[in-house]
Amino acid sequence: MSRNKSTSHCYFLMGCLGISLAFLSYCQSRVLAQLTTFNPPTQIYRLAAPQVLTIPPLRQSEISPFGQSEAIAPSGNVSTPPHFNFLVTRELPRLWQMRVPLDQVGSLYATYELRGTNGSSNAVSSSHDANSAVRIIIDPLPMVEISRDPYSKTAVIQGGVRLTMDLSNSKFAGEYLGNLTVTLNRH
Amino acid sequence: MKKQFLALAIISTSAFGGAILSTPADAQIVPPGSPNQNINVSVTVPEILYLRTIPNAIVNLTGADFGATGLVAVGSNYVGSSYLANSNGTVNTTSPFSTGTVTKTISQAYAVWSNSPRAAGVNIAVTSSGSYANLANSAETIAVSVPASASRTGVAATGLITPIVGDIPLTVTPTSTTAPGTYIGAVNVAVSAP
Repeated sequence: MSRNKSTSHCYFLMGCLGISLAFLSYCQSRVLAQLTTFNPPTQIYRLAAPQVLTIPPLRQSEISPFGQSEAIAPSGNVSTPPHFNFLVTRELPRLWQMRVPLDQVGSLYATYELRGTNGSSNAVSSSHDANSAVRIIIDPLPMVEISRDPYSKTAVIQGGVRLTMDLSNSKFAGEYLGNLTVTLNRH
Repeated sequence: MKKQFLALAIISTSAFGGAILSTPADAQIVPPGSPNQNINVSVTVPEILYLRTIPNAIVNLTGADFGATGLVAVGSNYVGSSYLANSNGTVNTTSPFSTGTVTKTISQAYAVWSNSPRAAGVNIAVTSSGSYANLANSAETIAVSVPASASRTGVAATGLITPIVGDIPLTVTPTSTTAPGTYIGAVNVAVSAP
């Protein structure tokens, strides 16, 4: 369990004014980055992909790069939201692989459909509160050929995605889950 | 082994060839039904706790805070006069002032953003440095405290958009000999997500 603590001193002058100084101590749980691996495809048209995809964890410094506390300018509004960075990107170039005939290498493309465990589209939803979700924009990365077998006249192609995660509607920290469907199509 | 693989490739290609005839060329699964994979996705959002305070607070005590009536402001000072005599005709020397505590509130003094998922929520502790010193003469002090009610425990986290906002009440205790002037001290705000 993580424990966070933040403190701020607000100096104050009786009859006049004061100065402010802020400091804090902060610690957070550490989660190891893990992208579940999978075996390369050996059979043709067999789409190889991980059963579970754990996105490398989002870091506190990515969301709040300016620290954890501040004293606003005297003319400022204390409730104005800090400039949190709610858009965090992860690239997963090796999301899937498939062995295909050589003459189809250039004619294939992948489509991706993501659905949160709460049923919402293009999102993953909190395991703590189903109403809290992280919306995700999926941009396919260029498909690449990583090997070919002249004897079987097949090649292994690989595809991946760039995930842009929008945290503005994620009310709680913790695990967000969903299901990604990868489908290979031909032009 | 190689022959088996080639045979499998031929069968698969044949199945694919049949699919070309029955589906649009620009939205064709290759081969029909098979290269389609479901992946369970897990994203971990880190915990964020963010505290913002105002940099300083200006708290002015007025003549009325000292209990007397009829005081008139002259600049930042106050003057007053009245008639009151004892029964024998001498001036009544009972002080027109009271030197009890004065309560002042610093409105919207802090804001806290937290996405803590735990039921314990957020704790906010507000304390005062206690004795505030006169800027002109540090030997002169005035007592300033923050009531226990200013601290809050178990406040539900509201996420990273909507903050938890709080006022800070101050209890100032001037004495009958408190000198006029500017007194400085500190209020400490400490936030935790247990």
